[in-house]
Amino acid sequence: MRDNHIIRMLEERAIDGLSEGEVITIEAHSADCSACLRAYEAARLAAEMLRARASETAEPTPFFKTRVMASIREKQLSPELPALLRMWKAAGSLVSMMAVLVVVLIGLTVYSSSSGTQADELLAGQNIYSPEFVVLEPGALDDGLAYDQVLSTMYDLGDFDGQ
Amino acid sequence: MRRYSPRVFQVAGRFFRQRAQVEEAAQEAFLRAYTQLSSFEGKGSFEGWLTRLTTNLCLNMVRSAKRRPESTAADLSEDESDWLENRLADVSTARHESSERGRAAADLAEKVLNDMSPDDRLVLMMIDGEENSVKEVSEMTGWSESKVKTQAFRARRRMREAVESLLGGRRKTEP
Repeated sequence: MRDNHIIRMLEERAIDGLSEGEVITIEAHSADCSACLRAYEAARLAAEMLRARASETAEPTPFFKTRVMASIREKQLSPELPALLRMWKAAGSLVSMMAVLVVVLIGLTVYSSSSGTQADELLAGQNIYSPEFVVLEPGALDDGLAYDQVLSTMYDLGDFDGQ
Repeated sequence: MRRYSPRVFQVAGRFFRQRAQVEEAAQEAFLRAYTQLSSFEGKGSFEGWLTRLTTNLCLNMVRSAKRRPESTAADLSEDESDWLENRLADVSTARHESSERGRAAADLAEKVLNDMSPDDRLVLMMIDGEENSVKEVSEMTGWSESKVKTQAFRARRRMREAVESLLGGRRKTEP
């Protein structure tokens, strides 16, 4: 009963904004409905409280104008930061993070390139086509190295030695 | 400044009750008005622009402030309890009351409003307290009229329920 009756009227407009007909309807309904009567009483009291609160006014103290003028003067005296500096302050942390990231990336690139050179040197030292590797570890040549390639390598070595 | 002070103080007074707080908000409003004067395009009145600036400033100040637990509606003073009791006993009493009783009603309102959101407080104070129209509130806040209506509808419900629970508490404690 309560949901379909006066509650919506009480919430749609301020109590003072209700028409005479609406007030009669509300009061007639509230006479038979205790829940709506409580809601109506509460709405009326709420309106009175709000009127009392709204009627309170605060006056400025005698020094108010002086204080405002002082704060404006202070604002005028404090130098305005250049636009670029303000932008830097705003985006400072982001730019710092990006700079750190760039440094880390450069470091990683240098490190990986130097370790790559060392690996190449190591690989060159163990060149499977070198005469030493072919002669000393022939069993390791399981990658399909042709027999004539082995021979040519050995002959080349012989020529080098002057034999 | 003398010309616009009453308006700025009235707007700040909707959000704050202590004189020092009202004055602090008003001072900040004038300072902002000075620094943002270039954004006033001269389309509406200067007072309207200043009212909107002050309203938004106060809304932000209240939103960022911590709640004050001592100001909630949980505990009623003797004056506030008396006021509720008397108003219930004589529902047809005229609006005009003594200043003391009016103060108790305002105290009670402040306690209930402190438990509500800043937006709820604003619409209740402006529409139900000061009897501004929805259109006026819309102009002063920058909200759409439909937002003002919806906000007021919900705020009224919350206020009524809060007062109902105060009355319920009173009735239970009565012998």
